[in-house]
Amino acid sequence: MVTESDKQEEKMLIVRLKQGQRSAFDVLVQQYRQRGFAICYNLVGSPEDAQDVLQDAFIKVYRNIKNFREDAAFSTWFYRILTNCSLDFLRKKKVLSKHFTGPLIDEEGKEQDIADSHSEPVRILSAQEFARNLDLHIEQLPEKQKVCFILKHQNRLSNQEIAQTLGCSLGTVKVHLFRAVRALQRKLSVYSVQ
Amino acid sequence: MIRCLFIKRKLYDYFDNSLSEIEQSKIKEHLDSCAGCRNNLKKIHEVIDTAGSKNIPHPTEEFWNKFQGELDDKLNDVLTPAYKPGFRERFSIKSVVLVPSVSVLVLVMAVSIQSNHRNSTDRFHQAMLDEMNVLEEVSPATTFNNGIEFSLDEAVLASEM
Repeated sequence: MVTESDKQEEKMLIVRLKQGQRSAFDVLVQQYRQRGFAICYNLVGSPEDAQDVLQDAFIKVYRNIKNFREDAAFSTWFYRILTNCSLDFLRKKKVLSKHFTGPLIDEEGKEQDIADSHSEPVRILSAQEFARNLDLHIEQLPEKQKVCFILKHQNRLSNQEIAQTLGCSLGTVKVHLFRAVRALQRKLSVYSVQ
Repeated sequence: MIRCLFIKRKLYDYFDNSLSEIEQSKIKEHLDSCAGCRNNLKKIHEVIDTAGSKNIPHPTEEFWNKFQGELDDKLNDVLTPAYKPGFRERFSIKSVVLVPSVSVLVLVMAVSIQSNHRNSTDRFHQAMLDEMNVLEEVSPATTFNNGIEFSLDEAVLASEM
């Protein structure tokens, strides 16, 4: 829960950071590193990559803090930088890997096709397998849908925060979320959790 | 059936609790009587609950110390402008290199001049010696010539007398 005094303290930190005080930057890093790491991790998928992306995002914060208008919340401004850094990283990675994604492997080591048909019988999966399939399908969602879904359902941001982070309207966020959930629901309709 | 299609579009909002109270209660009413829609709602729950329960690593303090160190290094690299030497710096020779090179050059020149001088002196001496040898070799002719000159001188003296 963010109190009014926390907000004031953060404002003071930002003023000090704008004056070029490195100590203020260190405090902000300490305050936002865990939340930032969680978002990066969910978006890029590995702790090592998340660490690199998070560092790049903090450097961008330091260099661009003068462009931050204090009428908006620092958190959403930071999340926007973070999301952009993560998406840039994924784009570069996608170019490098030429859209390669490995085959799905079930517990018996057999390859699975990504099912997308209502006619197939429902397969009962363990929670772990279901989660792995879900991750792969989330990864394949269109960029905006993926970001909205991850920020909302894995990082617990409100629709309003997501709208501010992505610089779009609340309605657009709702549409992206609806489409993401519908797509995932369809793709995973042949699976059921044990 | 039409009602199910309508409900299906609203199920995510129902799950998200972002509908009005009236809509929320109408959908709940429908769900109580429709197994298909209940199943759809169950699927949404499965997807979102699974996504929400994803394990996010909580890095240790050691990780964050390393993170901070690397971040400081990266930030210092970014903040310190890359050194670009100016025209004069790029084309100037450092004194460390310049002084020994000039000294060596002067030494080489001195040795070279000395050696040239010695050679020319030797050559001069050699030339002198050669000339003397030549003179020694041709001395009879000279004597002869001298003899003629002498005789001419004598003739001149004789005629003056």
